[in-house]
Amino acid sequence: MPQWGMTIDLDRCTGCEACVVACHAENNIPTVGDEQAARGRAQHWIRIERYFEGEFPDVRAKFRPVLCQQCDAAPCEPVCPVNATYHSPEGLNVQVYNRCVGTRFCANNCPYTVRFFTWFDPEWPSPLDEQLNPDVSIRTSGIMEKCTFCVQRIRRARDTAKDEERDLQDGDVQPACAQACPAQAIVFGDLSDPDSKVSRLANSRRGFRLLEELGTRPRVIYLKEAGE
Amino acid sequence: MPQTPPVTFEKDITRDLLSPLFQTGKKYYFMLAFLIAVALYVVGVWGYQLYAGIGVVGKNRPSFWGFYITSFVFWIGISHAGTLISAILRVVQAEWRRPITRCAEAITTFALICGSLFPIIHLGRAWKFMWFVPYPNSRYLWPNFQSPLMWDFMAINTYLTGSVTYLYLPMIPDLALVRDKSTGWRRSVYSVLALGWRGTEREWLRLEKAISIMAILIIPVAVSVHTIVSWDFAMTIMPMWHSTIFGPYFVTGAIFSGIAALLLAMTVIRKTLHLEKYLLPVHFDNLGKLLLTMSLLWFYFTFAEYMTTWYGNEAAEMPVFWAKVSGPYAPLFWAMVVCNFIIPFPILAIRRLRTIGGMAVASLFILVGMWLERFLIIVPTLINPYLPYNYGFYRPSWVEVSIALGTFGIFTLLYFLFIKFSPIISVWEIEEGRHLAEAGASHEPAVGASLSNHVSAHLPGNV
Amino acid sequence: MSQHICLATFDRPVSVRAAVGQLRAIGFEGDQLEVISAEPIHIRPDTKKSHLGTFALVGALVGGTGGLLLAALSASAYPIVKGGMPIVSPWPVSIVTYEATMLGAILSTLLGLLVELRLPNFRRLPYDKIVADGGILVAVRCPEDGKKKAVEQAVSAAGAKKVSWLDG
Repeated sequence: MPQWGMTIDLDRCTGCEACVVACHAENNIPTVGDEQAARGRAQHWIRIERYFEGEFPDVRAKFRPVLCQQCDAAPCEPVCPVNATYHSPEGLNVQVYNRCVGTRFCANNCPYTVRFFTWFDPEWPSPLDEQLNPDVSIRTSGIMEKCTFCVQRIRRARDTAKDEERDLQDGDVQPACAQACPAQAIVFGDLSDPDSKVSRLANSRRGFRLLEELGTRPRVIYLKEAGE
Repeated sequence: MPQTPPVTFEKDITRDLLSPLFQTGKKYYFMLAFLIAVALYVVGVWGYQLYAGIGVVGKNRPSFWGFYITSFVFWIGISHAGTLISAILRVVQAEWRRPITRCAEAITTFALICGSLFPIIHLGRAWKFMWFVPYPNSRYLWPNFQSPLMWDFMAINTYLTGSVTYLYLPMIPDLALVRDKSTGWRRSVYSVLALGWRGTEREWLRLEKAISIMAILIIPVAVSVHTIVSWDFAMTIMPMWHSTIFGPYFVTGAIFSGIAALLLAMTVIRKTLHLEKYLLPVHFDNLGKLLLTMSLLWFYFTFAEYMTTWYGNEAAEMPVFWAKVSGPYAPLFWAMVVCNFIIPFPILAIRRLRTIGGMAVASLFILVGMWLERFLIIVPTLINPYLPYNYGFYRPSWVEVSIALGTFGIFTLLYFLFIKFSPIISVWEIEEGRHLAEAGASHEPAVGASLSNHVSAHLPGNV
Repeated sequence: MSQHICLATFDRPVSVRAAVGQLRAIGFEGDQLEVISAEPIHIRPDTKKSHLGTFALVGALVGGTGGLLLAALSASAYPIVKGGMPIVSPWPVSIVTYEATMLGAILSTLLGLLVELRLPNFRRLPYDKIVADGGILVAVRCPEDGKKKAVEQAVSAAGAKKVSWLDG
């Protein structure tokens, strides 16, 4: 059984936010409009966190893409009163849209603040409604959502492999963010396969996990920038 | 048209305590109409929220909880009034509890009802709230009992059942009294409610035993309820929420706000129902001393909590700490300290200031302060998460403010209806207290005679 | 066998004690005498043992078992991993068990009271509304006609304000 994981090379990331746009397109994430965004309700399942370090002229901008870390000891999972989120055997943190009643407790317990709530029913004025991905459900208001590691692509790749009577191979599954990144900073794959690209990168000496001290055991491994 | 015979009262106590049930003035009807309007407004605003979408509230990311959960914790806190007074004072057989018990137990029940509205109101898909109820279904789907919200469900339902039972049991003899004093439809209704109570020796013995068992049961339930509510926060890993002190801290705060609510309610009903002969200054004084103790305890817990945070200087916690102490939430934080300690402490500690009016003022400040405390526990933590890029803000919308304030109207409405339904002071307990005092110590005052219990235990016939 | 029930009304507990003493002397015992009052006055000790404590304990056990089973079995019915915790986690199960225990104890205490007192009770049992005004009733069940006079004398001597007879 594959154990999905991801590495993000911070040395390669330019902060261009192509991954953010691709994620929106792939996962039918609505844009909430400028008024709602100003009220703090924008939904970006992957976002580029930008921090400035130092004083002029030694200022450095650091970019860090943050998405659901699919933690093995996810703090968001046990607190949902209706079992709307749990850990799949393949290591994904699953969000069950039609079970969610919207207590928003899971969002409060996520230290990475990667969970999003749909405050109003989403709208896609024509012709934007024609670019929706048929593999991903539309979430109405009152439901939590977050990055799923493009589970629809995982499922599709698995179906294709079954049709072709072969196993899943490294590179079969590429989430939208990994696919869109022009610098190839995001690598996705099976962490339990020692030969996969993601495994080799994850074992790099530059690898670290975000907020590791909290004990969440995230599956996203960041590779430190050179000179860090 | 047949004349209904006038209701007669032989004893002044019956007349004083039963007259609100049988006589209603115009002022009451005006107030009732106003309260019903408030309740309908709350329902209407919530209906609007259901229709327009949960987004009409002011919450956002990362401030996913706000006024509603504040109100929830606040009301569950108020509900600890009845338990402390009624149950603990009964267990230690403090005589001065007698006129206060039902008033306090009613506060508990209605505060719990108001509080339990909020876990439904704050849901994103409130129409699916029944999924919290563990009922068998064809998909083998059950609620998640690992979640503190499900512990809330269990605890609050247990406490509500317990407090309704604990309110009803001592009410049975008074319901029988109303039955005997009324005619027509009222008599039929109260006959059913009084369960055919007569007042035989065995009935009294069993009732007293049942009440004392309930008193002993309800105390640990009450402690567990607010501990579990506090664990909605303490079980998370959020900065300044993940604190082991939250259980006792919240229980103390609950008892604190509960006594304040009780004092305020007593002041109001003493004035409006002319109960000056029953709710004596000594009752207020005793409650005032308890309130003083709770104020000191609250200060101690708060100081301990903030001191350990400051001294520990953890990176994730300090932004939350400074946001409250000197940052954007500083005005509310220091207002809370003023309301909960700086103003009440002198009023309650100095005997000259510890008058009924003074204590009512202190109680009002305490209620405001405790509401602020709940708010300040919730929002500053949420808007200062671990990853600083996600720092946010919270601005409540008119929908949240309306519903949060409106529940005060709903609570008052329930109380208003209650005083027409049952005597607000337990008639039989007052009578029992008077007889014990007369029989036990002929030269001691009838109420507040703590010796009378001791003496009466040695009377002939009381084997 | 027809029952004659004497209702004697008193206004002070001390008179009631005297009356009960006199009635016992002429042979009336236990449940043949009923003292009915508007607040507890504790004339005689209880003859029948109360089982309310047992009710509460049994209710607590039933509730606790129910809570334990609810938390444990519902988690294993659809086993999913949440937060790396075991499917049936001991700590949360203990909290649910505790609350269910208390709920069971509370409900069974209420039930026990109703059972032991046979409430709700809408049969015609001896009662007079004078109790609501502070009167204390002594109800004497007198199976034989012969003793009626003796009963009347006993309660009048003790200071009964009113004596009446029901035939039931």
